[in-house]
Amino acid sequence: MRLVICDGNRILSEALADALKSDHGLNTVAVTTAAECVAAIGSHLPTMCVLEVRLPETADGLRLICEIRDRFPDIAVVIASSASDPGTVAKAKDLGVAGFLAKSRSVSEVADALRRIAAGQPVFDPVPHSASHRDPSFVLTPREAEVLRRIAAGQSTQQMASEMNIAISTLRTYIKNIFAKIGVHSRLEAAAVARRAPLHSA
Amino acid sequence: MPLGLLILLQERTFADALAIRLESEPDIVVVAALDASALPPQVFVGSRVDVVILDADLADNAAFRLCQELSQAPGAPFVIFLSRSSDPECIVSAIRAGAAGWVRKDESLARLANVIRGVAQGETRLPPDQIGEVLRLLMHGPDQDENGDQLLAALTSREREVLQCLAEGNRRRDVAKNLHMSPNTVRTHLQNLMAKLGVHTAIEAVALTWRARDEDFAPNGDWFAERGV
Repeated sequence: MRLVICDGNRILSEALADALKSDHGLNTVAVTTAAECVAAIGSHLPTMCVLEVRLPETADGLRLICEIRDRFPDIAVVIASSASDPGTVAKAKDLGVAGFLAKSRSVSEVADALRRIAAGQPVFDPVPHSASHRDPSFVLTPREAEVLRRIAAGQSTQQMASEMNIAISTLRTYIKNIFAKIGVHSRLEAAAVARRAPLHSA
Repeated sequence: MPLGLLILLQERTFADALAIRLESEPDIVVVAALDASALPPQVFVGSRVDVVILDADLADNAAFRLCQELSQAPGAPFVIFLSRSSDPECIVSAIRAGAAGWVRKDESLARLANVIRGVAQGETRLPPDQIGEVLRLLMHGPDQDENGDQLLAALTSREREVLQCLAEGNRRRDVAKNLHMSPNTVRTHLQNLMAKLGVHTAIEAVALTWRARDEDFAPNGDWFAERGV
């Protein structure tokens, strides 16, 4: 069985590919972006493609699923994600993905699931419940959501601090937490994420 | 002797895959790979852990508290943060909590393995493109207002030589050579001087000497990475 794994977390994607290769004999290629993923499918011709639905560069892993489905209809697409948004998983299911694997699986459990999927048996793990399994990714506090909206509106640090009536250091803490939660490195990226994704606030 | 590694990450798939992969390195033994959010750090006191890989993206800044607890024990392991971001202010918080390294999750496995070996030697390893900003924040940080001169005066002449030599930009092994010491002696001096200065890492100690001398030195990107400080 040949595999392409695509996850923006390069270290995870490389480690998982190596572990599946060494311990389970799965011929696996690791990539980190949607563009690399499409290219790797074209050249590696895998049986299956394992995707993290929240890739940093695509904003929308769902679009990548559509592209793979349209260009390579024979390849099974499997979602492996810690995303706790049941809506995304439901949409992926509607698009015809062959499975959803929660990242709470061990490597052996991932390998077992992939073999079952390859044999034509869909595997859908329960979507981790937001309350019990708190994935911080897109769950912002109301204050953080407000800061992110202001970043997206192009406000300066000074401006935000004075309009929100908070200290600059407090504001920096909010910004730092927002970056970590949505997985970006700069305000520009944060603004881009805010524009394309509806934000959930806790 | 192989170095003992403890992996504490949010996702089990990630922790497990990383453990399998790093276990194949001849000089690394993975002591355990666990879901970081599930357990108290005291569990590991006593096991032979040299380096801890810690998920910086745990909810509620849990990683920073965990790092502080892990770093307090005598003979504490070196902690590497693994994070989605490389925000300099987060890196500074991690250093103040005792972290010795910071690797972004979108860097490579090869780099992570490299950083693990570096910090196990007592080095500080940070993303090269953030080092300049991290140093500036360390030098001008709010809780660093103590008188640097006074702190530095408490050092022995030998400790001051070691620090001076590092601050001039020498690599650790060159410090040993220049001062005719064994690498272990350099390490001991460093540990003692960091304790006296109340800092956790060599990078903070060097930042403190620059601040005390009021030097307007702004190291560029790879300055520290090249030197493995």
